Amino acid sequence: MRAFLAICLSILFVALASPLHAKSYPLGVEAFLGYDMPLVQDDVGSGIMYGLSVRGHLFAFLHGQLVFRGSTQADEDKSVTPIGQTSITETLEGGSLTGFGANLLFAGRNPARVWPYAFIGISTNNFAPGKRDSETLFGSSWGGGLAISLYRDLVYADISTSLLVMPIEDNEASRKNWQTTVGIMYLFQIPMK
Amino acid sequence: MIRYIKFIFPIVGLAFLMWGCGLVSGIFTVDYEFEDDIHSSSSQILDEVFESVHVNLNDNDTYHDHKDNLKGIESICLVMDVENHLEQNVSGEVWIAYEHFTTKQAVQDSGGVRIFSGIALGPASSPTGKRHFGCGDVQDILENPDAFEDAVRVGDFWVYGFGNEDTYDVTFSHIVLILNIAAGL
Repeated sequence: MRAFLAICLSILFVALASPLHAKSYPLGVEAFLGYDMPLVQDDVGSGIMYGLSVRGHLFAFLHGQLVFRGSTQADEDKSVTPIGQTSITETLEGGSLTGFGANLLFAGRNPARVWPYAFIGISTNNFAPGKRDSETLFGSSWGGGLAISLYRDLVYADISTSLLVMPIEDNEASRKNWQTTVGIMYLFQIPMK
Repeated sequence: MIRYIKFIFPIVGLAFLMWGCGLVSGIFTVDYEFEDDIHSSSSQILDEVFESVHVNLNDNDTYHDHKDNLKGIESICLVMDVENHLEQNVSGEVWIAYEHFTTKQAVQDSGGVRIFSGIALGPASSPTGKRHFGCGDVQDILENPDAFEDAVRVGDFWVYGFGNEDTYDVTFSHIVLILNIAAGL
């Protein structure tokens, strides 16, 4: 956890320190909502996700992003038929998946009207399924998105989709979640000189 | 553009390495219906009985398909109806063992492992004399999950049910074992 926080703070430091030559530094702050879909996971269902992110330019085509996200995971109903009985439905309680991560974005250096990007990232996640014990899971993710300027290259609509992979069982298996979000990002112009 | 691609390929490759071999895997639900009920009574009861059920998970298609790539057990649940036949409270227990035993004492003394206890039942004539236990109910009373997980990995074991008291007469019926297993595809 300490190492992870150190990485995050390093990215933030580099983001703020690298463009010293610029008059101002655009720092993108975004709030988003979306849909979280567990892949090949019979024990939890899809749910709504939400979160906040902060992104800034690092160098060349690289941008750093810190993300906090949470999602609900729906209950899963299982139909079982005890011998000699009619079918009954058992509910496996869903729960929540929250995470804090750092992403490395590949995008054009300067804000543009249409600003596509790809990214990879790492995160620490808390998986809390119903009454079962919660687990802290390391996650890696990759995906892409498209930011579309809504107002003077300051306000953007941001559509993003990504695959989050969280190893379990000593890295021999994993939970995978496909996450798609839509958000509004505002580029704060931070004076540098 | 070419210089960008030079960066992207190694980074994407690194991401795949980070995921390890667990990428091609999933969580699968196995539901195994017990073929018989378990009726058990203590020696103080006329016509003492001691029943058990043999579980062979290999009979289940989902388990059979993934057994060779089984990585772990994510959750365990036992759905059942439990009935008290006496007019006194009873606390039911469920045990597992790799061998077949014919007495409660043998199960407890010879390698059996208790997986559920505190299955509280009221007197037979009361509303709580017969109760249904679902996944949400048994999650709190699951014991020795590691031993249960080991048994699931083996896939072949015996299940016993009886009361915690000296005098008891209980039946565990309509039992379904619901597992969520992590396995390779």
